[in-house]
Amino acid sequence: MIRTLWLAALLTLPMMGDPGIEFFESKIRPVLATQCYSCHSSSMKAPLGGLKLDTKAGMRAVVVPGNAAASRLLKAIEHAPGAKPMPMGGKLPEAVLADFRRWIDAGAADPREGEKPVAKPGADWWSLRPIQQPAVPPRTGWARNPIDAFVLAKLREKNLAPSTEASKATLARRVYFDLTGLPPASDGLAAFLADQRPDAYEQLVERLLASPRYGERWARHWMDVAHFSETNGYETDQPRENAWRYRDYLIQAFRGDKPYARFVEEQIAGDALFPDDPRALVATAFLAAGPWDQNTIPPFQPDRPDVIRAYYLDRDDVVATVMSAFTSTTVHCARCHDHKFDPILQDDHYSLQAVFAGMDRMDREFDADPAANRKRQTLIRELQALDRRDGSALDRIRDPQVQEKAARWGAEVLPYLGTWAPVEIEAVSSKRGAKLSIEPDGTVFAQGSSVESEVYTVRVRSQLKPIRAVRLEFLPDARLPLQGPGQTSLGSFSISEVRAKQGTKPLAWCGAKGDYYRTRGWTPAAIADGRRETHWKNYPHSGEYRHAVLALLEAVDGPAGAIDIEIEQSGLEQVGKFRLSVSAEEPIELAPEPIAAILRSAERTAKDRQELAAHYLRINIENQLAALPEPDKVYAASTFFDPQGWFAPVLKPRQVQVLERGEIEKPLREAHPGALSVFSYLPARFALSNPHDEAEARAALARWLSDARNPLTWRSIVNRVWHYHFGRGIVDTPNDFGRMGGAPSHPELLEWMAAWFRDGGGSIKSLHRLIVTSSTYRQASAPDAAKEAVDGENRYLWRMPRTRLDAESLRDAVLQVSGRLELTEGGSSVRQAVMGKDAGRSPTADYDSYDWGAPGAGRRAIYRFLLRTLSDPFMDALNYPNMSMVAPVRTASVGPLQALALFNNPFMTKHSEHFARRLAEGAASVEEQVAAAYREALLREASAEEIAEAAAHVRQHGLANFCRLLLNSNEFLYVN
Amino acid sequence: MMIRREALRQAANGFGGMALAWLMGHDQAAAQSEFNGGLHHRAKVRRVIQLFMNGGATQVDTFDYKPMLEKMHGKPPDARQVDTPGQNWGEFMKSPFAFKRHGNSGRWVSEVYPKLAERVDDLAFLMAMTARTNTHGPASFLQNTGYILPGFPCMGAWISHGLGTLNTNLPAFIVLPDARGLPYNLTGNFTSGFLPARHQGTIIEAGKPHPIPDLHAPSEADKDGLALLGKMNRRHLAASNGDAQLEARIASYEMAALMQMSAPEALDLSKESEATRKLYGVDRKETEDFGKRCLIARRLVERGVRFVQVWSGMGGASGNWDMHTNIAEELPKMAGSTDQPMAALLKDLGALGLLEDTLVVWSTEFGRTPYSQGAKGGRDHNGGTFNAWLAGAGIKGGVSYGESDELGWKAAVNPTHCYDLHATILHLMGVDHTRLTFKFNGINRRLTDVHGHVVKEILA
Repeated sequence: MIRTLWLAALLTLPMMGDPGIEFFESKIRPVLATQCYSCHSSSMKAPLGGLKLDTKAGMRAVVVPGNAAASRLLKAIEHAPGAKPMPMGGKLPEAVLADFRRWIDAGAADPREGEKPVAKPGADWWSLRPIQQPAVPPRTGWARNPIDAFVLAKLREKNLAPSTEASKATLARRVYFDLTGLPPASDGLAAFLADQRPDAYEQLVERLLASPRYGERWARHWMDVAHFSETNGYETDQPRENAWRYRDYLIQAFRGDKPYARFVEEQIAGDALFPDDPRALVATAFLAAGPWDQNTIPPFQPDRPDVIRAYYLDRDDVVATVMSAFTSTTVHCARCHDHKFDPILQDDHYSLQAVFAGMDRMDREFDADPAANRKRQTLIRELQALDRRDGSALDRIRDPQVQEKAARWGAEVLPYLGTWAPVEIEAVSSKRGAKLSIEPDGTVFAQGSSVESEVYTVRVRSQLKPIRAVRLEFLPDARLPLQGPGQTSLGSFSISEVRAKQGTKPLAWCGAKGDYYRTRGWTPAAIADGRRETHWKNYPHSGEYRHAVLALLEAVDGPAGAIDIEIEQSGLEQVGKFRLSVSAEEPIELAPEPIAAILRSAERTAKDRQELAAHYLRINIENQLAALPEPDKVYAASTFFDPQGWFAPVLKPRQVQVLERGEIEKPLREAHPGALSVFSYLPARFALSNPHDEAEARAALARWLSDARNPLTWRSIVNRVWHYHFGRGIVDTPNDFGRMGGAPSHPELLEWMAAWFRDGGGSIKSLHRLIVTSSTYRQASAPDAAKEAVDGENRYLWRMPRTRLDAESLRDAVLQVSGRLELTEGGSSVRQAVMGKDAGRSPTADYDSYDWGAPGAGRRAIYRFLLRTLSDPFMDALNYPNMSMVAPVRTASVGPLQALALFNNPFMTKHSEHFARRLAEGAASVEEQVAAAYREALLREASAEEIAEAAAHVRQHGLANFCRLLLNSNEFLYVN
Repeated sequence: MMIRREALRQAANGFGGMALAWLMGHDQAAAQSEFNGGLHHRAKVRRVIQLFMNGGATQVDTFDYKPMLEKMHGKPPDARQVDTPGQNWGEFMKSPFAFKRHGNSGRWVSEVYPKLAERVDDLAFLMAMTARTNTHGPASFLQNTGYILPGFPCMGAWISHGLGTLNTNLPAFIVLPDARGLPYNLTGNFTSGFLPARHQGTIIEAGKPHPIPDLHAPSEADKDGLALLGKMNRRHLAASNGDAQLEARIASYEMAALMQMSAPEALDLSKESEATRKLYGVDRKETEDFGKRCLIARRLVERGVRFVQVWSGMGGASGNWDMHTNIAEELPKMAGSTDQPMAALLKDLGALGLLEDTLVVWSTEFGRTPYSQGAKGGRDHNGGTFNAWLAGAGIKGGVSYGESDELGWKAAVNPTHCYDLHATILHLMGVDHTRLTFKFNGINRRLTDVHGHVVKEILA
């Protein structure tokens, strides 16, 4: 009887589906997830007591359905005598215990199956269901378009009614700020007010959407979503001089109304999907927009725990940004365990990390000219494929025609390779403790000494006369880590200088050449330039032969004497195995010894022909790359860049492991590229033709996101756009459509708009048009006590909310009103601060000393140089968000420090003076100046009382002082 | 908490409760007066001064005396155990400084802290603090925000968010950086992160003509201007049918005016006696900067500032606690610049009765290696173990908790993390660290992430 009553009670709850399951999902699972899973879940290698509470089977081991009193679980959480008291953190509140009793007594409904840790609630959660466009409710007189029909239906349901329409002037100021981030100029407003055509407002909306100012406004919103800044953040906050191109990309994308699917695809994999469009490559800067730990990632050996951890966290930031921005999903909550509330598996999180495991954040070369760009990107991809011996590259080096060309090339260069004679080694020594031994084959093997600036000295003799060049070969060996040729755990070496001496007399080099990694950071010339701070490395090409040739400035042609060759190394990266030889002529062409050997031999095996072809293709590509015009650069997702310290592009994506509790010390299994596993009709894991090609994985994710069937993508963007128009989304957590996010205030409207937007080609401008021409948007913002009693938060939009200007809009409005706004578009950012460097490597930024008369001082806020950590305190005071984090919503706090910033900051005082000068030029009397000030700043005529009191103030304290008051007034700061 | 509510009400005189809510921050849970201003239980501490040693203060040369290190001096460490960023590491190195027992508690303190050593019976030490990173940036974030990533709110911001302000004329959370420059992470260590901007640390550059940008004494014209602005805003409010956020902005200017009057006074050290300035070492070049800032910190907590953070050391390679080159030369400079001011601060707070509800915390981002670095005997970063101490309200003086291994390399017994330190500080302020949360981007975030235990052993 009792049980039936409970079920009846459950059934009356406003839930969908099985009430028992719903009860489990809302009351039980969250408790299990937050209180129990950390010790008892199947994501652990050894759950405590063998208990897996994230599975049904595990649960059934401690729960007797229908009998709470007999259930071990309940005894434990009730701290019953004899039971082990759980959870560890302390007894749960009585209400929670009651929920558990209720749930077990009612049958312990559990949607999970057996041993499988299924993350639920399942795909029936509102945001995960396929989009189904509902019918538009019947329209009445007030409703101009479908938005209004939905809003009105909801208002009626709540016994509310819409407000009257705002005045034309109010509406104009609202839509100007909303679409362009600027107020109307006073004369522009007057013209609009005088326009008596019935569609005057619609015409205005069209003009604003076509204005260049529109792109500048809406690009900024997306920069918040991407947490874009132009410095790295973290310890030293170094600038990214080429980041601004992404800002210009966004401005152009919004301005050109780029279809949303394409906008999504470009930012994830524009380089791979649209190779003919250089701007699509620039778009991948989205993936690099966030902070980057330059004090951990570049300086240290990549297998150090700090660096491995930094990479996991770095990819976590990319994954969180992508999934928050495009799908409003909190996949970052599944880094340490399955998502506690949404059907996101921990494996999903790491599969998404695996998508980005081959890229880094770095300057990427591209060409504005599409043909040159296509060529450059193709060559780079070919080079990478060749390095990896990918399928396509294998086909080419096996191609008889290519092999034939390679053979012809070989015959041509053979005479110029020089002839090398082995040296006779007399003695070997090291400066800092490495043990060197001479092998029977004349090579030198080195062991030990992982210290800074180790120097190997080899005393050699040769009968050759004259000696014009010395060759150093670095040889793989099974005794070395990853076969060397270096001694580090990565098989790497790093050489800063090679010196030669005859007795005490140094022999000068005229240069060095070598086979080297293609980027410009670690060139072999470094070993003969006399500078210890430059060096040549083989990383990341472990296990491969390398060689360098050093040419002597003057030939050694005297009596044969011993020559000391000193090899000075840097870091902890010492050579493991090498060989020295000399030549009587200076070689004109270079070929690694294995290739040279192939060239010299008459009999070539199939493998020889392939190696030769590969070498030939490689130098061919390098020559073609060198012949291309100087490229542009953008700070973006990159796989091909100049190394810095240990930081270098990888040949293959880094391995990503699913980590128990997110700890790198506890890898569980390898993760493969993929996305969420919740949709049966979209791939959870990507089938890739070449798992080594990271761009293919990104392209697969891009298509997964832009798929018309992905319900999250389309709901997310229409809600986000709505959020910026109304100050609050239909879902008020624009980055979270999960269980912990807000519930939609108008679910049918969201569905309808998502379908309408998607099926109409994803035009953001059409969406703006629909929204701002609706009656809903045109309402007045005045409060109403009676309606507030019903809906104090205005969740159902019975009025337009009154909003405070955001930091950028306020700044731009002040510039415009003071006559200082400069509408130059695009280009590198303006540093609106006196910037320098401190005694360390950190930037300094003195915003107060900035000269507001400097070139570029009047440019719109979006063109400011954006320091991530040292952002402008004036903007911070107005809730400019901390860009180390994504910022889906701007807050609008109020407080004395903000008041002080607005009242006293030099930006405000200086522009008050400019405003006053502008007024003084145009009007003779103080009264006229005051009236003009009201007109310009507040866009209305002042009353006689207002003019009188202001004039009195101006006469005492000056016009600029009064201008500052206007720019501080609530009427200026708020949009009705 | 009555103090704050009343004061705010006065500042916001004539406005409704909604405006007050806007000003106080509708995100804040109401602190309970029956808990002495605590949120979840009775508070013992109402304000905090944190002294942060930027760069990683060496433990084996200050508080963590290791006789074994003298025995091992000159012997190489096991290379497999070495996990330090620098590459030129050397042999174990005994401290170049003599250690002695002090006070009734018999705490070992090295000779670099002669004045502080006299007060060891007031201090409770965490002797086995540990951090999971060896890099300044992430480690400083960790100690300040509980995360190794940027963008999370720091402890001062959380306290401001959770407990609000104790006064109406000064910010709740103030940071006093070293006169030489900002620490590692620059202002990232004082950020409010995703908490509302008003919880951000207000930076006071004590040596500058305008120590707080935009906050200086108002001119007559400013006063008249603010009066007229108030009038204009009230007229606008009336025409707008009333609106709490508009009311709150009007009140915020009134509070700003109060702040403009009182902040310069709070920073004016000429109001202190010659003897007091001398006590803090303001008269000596060596101790002038840190001494000044300790004295300002005392004046600020006296005036109801919740959380004051005083930094020793700037970012970069020198002028801080990052002593890679030569401990024997570098440590006396940094320790010497802080020793007398710290001792003075404790003495002065005690004499004024402020220690009754003020907590003083000394901490750093990590320790240093027991083996040497470079040719002249520096030490490299060591997240394995380091020290922190607390003194004042709610603290049991003269005790210590945790031990490092016999070489002072890794935490060995009762290790504590930043989470435990943060949890303990919040606990003393009447806040359960697991219940002070803020929802951001889908997660209920905490200062202590998913960790943290109150270190009851050091509580009175």
